[in-house]
Amino acid sequence: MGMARYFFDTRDNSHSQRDELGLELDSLEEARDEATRGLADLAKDVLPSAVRRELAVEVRDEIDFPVLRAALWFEVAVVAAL
Amino acid sequence: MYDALLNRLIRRLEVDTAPLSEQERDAIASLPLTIRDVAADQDIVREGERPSQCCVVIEGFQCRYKMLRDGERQIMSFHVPGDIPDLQSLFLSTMDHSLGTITPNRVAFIAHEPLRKLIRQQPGIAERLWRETLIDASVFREWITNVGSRDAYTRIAHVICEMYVRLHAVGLTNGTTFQFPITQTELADATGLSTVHVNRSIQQIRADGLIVWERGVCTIPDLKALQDAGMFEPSYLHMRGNVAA
Repeated sequence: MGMARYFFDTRDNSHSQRDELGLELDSLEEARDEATRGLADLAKDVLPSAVRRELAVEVRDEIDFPVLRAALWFEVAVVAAL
Repeated sequence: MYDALLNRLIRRLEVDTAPLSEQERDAIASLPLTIRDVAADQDIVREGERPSQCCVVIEGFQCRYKMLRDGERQIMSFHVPGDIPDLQSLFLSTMDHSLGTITPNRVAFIAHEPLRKLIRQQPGIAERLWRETLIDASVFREWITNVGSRDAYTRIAHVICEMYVRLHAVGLTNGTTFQFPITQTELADATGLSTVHVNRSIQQIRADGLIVWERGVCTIPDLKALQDAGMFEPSYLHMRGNVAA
């Protein structure tokens, strides 16, 4: 079992937040699951007040190498005025 | 050791109501106890078991939780010294959830039989223990609200405020500094959030200057500001006096 530390930076439009803590995980597969769940949580918090938003979780490994990116593009618009 | 335990338990039982009488104190002091050290991340009692004793936390942190079939864990409460987290087992014989340690613990076990005898002889103590389980339920109501309706930032700020107030009530804070040895994963399990989002939110709460949290020790520089951020109103803890000191 090769435990490794992964860092999950989050991006909200142009604002990026660097993860200084990281998580010990068994595999890249687990990192993908964590990133996906993190992205879904982030979306739940920020989308209700959003119009256009690009959200992403960018995963780095221990040597700062980018290994995975999960992203979500959101847009809401009224298409017919009553 | 024994006195420290007794004081902790008595202080806990006096948190929400009047001081115990001399007679009640003596009755509690005469309860037979078994003191045990338990390592971190161990179960004290598991869902489905039928315990014959309750435990009082002397040192350390515990949590109550349920495990789901897919391996997910929902933590429903954190417990601090002075708490009797499995008091309900006195009357509900089969555990409907598990109780485990978070950090290394020192716990005192009280067998159900002498405890039942005590509450028959001392209605004042029975009342206090009843209140304990009612407050327990009040905390669960607050946590349902927290997990169901607040965003991650607010949710986490709320849990930190609660831990501070409860530790303060049993004399385990130093100013607004206290032991908070909860991992991000445990906090995620307690707030129904992913670890990644908990990490992100903690870093935001820190960046906003609302907490300093390093190596299991947390300081709240401005309690009022953190309470506002966490929509925290301590009345659900039903403590006497000014708890937010």
